[in-house]
Amino acid sequence: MAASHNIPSEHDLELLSAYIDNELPDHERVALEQRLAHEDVLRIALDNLRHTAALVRGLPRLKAPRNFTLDPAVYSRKPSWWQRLLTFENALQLSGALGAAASILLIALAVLWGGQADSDKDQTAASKIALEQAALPTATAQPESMQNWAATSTSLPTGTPLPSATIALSDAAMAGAVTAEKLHSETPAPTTTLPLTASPTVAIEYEADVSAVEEAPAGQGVVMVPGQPLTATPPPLPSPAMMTDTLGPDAGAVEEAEAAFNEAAPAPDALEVEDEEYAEEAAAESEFMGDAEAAAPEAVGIYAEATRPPATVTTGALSQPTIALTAVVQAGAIPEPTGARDTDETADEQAGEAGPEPMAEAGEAVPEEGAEMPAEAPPPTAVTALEPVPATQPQAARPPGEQTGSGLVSEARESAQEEEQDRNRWWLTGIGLVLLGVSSALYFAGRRKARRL
Amino acid sequence: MDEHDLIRAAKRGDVESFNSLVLLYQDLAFTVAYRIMSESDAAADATQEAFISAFRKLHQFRGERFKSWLMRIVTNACYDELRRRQRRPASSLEALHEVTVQPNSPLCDPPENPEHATQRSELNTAIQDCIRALPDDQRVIEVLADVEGYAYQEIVEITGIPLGTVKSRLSRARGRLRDCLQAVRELLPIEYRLMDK
Repeated sequence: MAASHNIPSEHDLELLSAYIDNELPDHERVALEQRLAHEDVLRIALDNLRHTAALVRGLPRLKAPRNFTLDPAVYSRKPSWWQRLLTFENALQLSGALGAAASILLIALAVLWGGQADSDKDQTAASKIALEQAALPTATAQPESMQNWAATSTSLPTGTPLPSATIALSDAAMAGAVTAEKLHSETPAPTTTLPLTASPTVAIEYEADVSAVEEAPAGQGVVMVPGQPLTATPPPLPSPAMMTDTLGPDAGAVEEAEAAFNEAAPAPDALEVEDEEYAEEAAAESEFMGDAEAAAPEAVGIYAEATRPPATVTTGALSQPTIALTAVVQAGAIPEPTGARDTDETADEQAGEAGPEPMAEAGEAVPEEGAEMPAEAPPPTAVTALEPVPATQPQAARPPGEQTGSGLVSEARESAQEEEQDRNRWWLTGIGLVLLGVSSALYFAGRRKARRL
Repeated sequence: MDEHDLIRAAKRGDVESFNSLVLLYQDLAFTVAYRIMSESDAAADATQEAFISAFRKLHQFRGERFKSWLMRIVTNACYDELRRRQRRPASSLEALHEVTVQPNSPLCDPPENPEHATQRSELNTAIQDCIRALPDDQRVIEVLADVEGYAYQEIVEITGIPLGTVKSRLSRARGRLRDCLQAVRELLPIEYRLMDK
């Protein structure tokens, strides 16, 4: 069709051109080959195109008249720091270096941690030894503090909550003043009710002996010297047996009175510590109690019983010692507790509501529910019956190195903590070593690749 | 270093590595430029511009064939120069003394005698003149297809022209060349002398 005038059409030339370059699809190629077999014009045109293309392809490649290289002084461009940093080789080296530094830091931390733990362990052991060694002077000093407390509890039944604090802090005796401060901070704000330091039994005993106390000669009972702290000799730590002996046949009445007191008095939930001095004293007493526990368990039991918080009700029977205390406070011997008078008044009111009638005067007997105790009963049977705890008992009763239950628990806890610390330290060291190896491999791989370039 | 390493180093700004690439491809680039421009100095300028442009745009190279990428830049540089000349037509004095660039002597056939060498030189000049007579769009396709031997798809990549357009332009360029060479048939070797239509 195209070669009708011996001139192939443009479409035929395009087919022939593509046929020369083998760029025709198969079906077009087959069709063109069939036409080429029958059409001479197409065949001649194909030959001419082939010769033309061959002539052009025969042109030689020229040589560049000059080099077209670029001048480094003109075209050199320094890549920015992040471009250099982000190259694969540099990234490998950088990550390796950072990993190695991190691993070294980990290992150093593990070593320092271990050293610190060992140091703490040594310090703990040293402090334990020091505490055990210090137990001797503490026990030796016990009678004095005990005497002080006994004198206070004997002569100040309504205004000295120290022994109760001692009981409350007995479990935390090892903690010392810190625990006492904590207890002080956790203690409710001072109220008008101050705990009574003596049990009802003791209070009744006081009631019975109030006149005797006031009339007691020096050395037998309470000694009230203006300008000086109250003293009592000997330290009155009553045992149940002693109390029973003291009260004699009136023990049943005393129990009834105690029950009445417990019903009438609101049980104080917490000890109210006036100030930090109280807390420190309480801590000292707690320490003393810890030491004394092994030495004189019976005495300590009595001590705890005598300072039991529910016995803080102030009744009319105790008003006389309160008066005595007031006199002492006014004389400047003992700082008056905050709200002491209010406490007495409040307690009196409370007792008046539900408890026995308060006594108007010192020396009067207990109300009718209780057993009558003669106002002029022989003095201080109870006081004289209370023997001070021998000073040498704690030392003899608890040999050095022996520990209480709380000490064993804390020691087990410490050992568990040490084991956990050791485990963590070894884990840290292992991770650091593995990281160090991987980081080193990365670093050297990056360096090798950079050198190859 | 192989070509990929050179390209990577040149991307980081290493001019020396890029110069290695230049030395590798400068003859090809100049040949294409000369076949398109038909002037030695213009081809050299276009080639130089093409290499500078390639160095500046090297960060755009995404890993395709570097030769095709470079030829595209050379072709565009030639296009730019041709358009500039069309806007400001001028004839340089050097063009009057323009001597056809002869191929490098080692490329020539050593046993060729001077008569044959002269005939070949005249033939090459005739072919180059015919190529120069082609329109710009057909000339570029003709050079890329027949002088450099690129496949159609590569020409599409270099020029960015559709495949059908490449085919049609190439066929027309070959037809024009055939007619042009018919006029200098006495210069052609006997085996290449074209038959009459």
